[in-house]
Amino acid sequence: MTNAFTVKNLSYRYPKAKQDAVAGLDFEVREGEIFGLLGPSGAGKSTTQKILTKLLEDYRGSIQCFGQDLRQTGKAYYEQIGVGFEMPVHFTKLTAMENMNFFRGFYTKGADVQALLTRVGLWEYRDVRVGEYSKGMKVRLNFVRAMLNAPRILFLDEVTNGLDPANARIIKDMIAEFRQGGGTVFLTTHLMSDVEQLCDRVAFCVQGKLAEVSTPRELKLRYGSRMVTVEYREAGGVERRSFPMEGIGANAEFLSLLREKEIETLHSGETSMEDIFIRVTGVKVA
Amino acid sequence: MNALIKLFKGEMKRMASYKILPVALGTSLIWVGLFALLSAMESRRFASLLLYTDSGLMSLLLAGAFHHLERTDGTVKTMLVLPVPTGMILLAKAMAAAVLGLLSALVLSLALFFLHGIRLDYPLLALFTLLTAAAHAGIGLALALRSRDFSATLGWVMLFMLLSLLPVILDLTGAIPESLSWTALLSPSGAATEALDYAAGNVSDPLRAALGAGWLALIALILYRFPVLRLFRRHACVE
Repeated sequence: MTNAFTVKNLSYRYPKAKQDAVAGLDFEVREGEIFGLLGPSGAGKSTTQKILTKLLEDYRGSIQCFGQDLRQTGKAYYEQIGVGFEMPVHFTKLTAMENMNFFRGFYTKGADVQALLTRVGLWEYRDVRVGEYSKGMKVRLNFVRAMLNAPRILFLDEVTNGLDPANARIIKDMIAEFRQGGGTVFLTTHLMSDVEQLCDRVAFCVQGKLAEVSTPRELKLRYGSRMVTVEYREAGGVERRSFPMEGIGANAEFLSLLREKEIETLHSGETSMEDIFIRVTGVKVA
Repeated sequence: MNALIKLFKGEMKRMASYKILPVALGTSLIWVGLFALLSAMESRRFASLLLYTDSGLMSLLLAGAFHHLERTDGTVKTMLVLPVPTGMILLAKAMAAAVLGLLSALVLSLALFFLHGIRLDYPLLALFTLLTAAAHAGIGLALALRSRDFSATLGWVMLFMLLSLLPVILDLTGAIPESLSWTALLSPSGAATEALDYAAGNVSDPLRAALGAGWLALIALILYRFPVLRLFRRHACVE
């Protein structure tokens, strides 16, 4: 599989800062995958995204984009990528449609703005000034802005932050469809629900360094307790017992419990991404 | 070129939406009212000063204020991920500032002609106004990029006005000896007022006017090419 990005020993220090915001990152983003960069605030996620989108240029280390040195890519690079910023990035005195038409005019290929705005529920508000939009509407418009040039790679920073569950679902569906169409997604977030539902692989960023790079499934297997917990009726109450997942089919005690007791619930002890996040980063999810 | 036109049209549209264009034209109309109260000779003498206020100082202040507004809206970042060179974005801003200055010059020129029958050297006036606006917008942007917020920019603008206008005032009041009066040209305000004064027919030294115009062009070139271009991207990305 081709790598969309190959990042080696990436470091960056902001002017006047005493230490690197990112320090020696190594990772790959494969073409056609959704790669999640996770970590607490200030971990270096947004800085990494700004470097990959060439907003910050004086970095150290090497970045290859589809085999080409990122430093050597010209402005045509921006024809290939779509960037969804965390904060709203629109001219507030202009309408949503005026904003979209302005930005779209600079790309050689463009997406169907009406279809995108309709999908995120903003088409009927297209002639309303962005300054009058709610936070959720601005976030959805940010996503449309990122998709305007039908990009090959999509960068999304906290893409569902501030959205209600229904609208977050729509955006996540659109991201999944983008991936199914061959697109690559670089997602930075601290929302573990987004990660669980979207990401093919994740990297945990802690204090500018990568602590883990793996698939959510592998992480769950590695960090999970792998237990089966049974709740059953016993003497008028509810009892609970846990059994190790290994050899569960031959566990006589477990099997007799299933045969002889009235089972209330049966759960595998799968660890959530939230638990893994806390264990890896040492930071509680907000 | 196509992208530059789109950027420029975008700047002009935003200047209208953000009420900068109407405010600038409104200010020019106040000067028109002033011309109506003055004699022809007084109006001609004041013309270059008012032209400098509109095309120079207004461009400086508006460029700084507009940059902070766009940075707060986050639009600078999203402009920087468009497939256009950063220099082209800055050129469009300079062009928009120049057009604002030219519009003001047009309003004032028409007022001088219809109120007092005064004709100015229109081609030179257009050129000098354009250079004054572009150089001062560059100074405004450079000051904004050196500041954390608009309040800090205002402080820098006040300091600039003091330092830049002081040589002009000293020259006007005769505090600078005749042999050294050319030193007033070193300040952007001195260079601009000298050039605009020539176009308005108040002074008759073409060499000093050309030096002033050339200095303004050099200021604009150096500022946009180096500090503004270098800091524009970084300033937008540092939270």
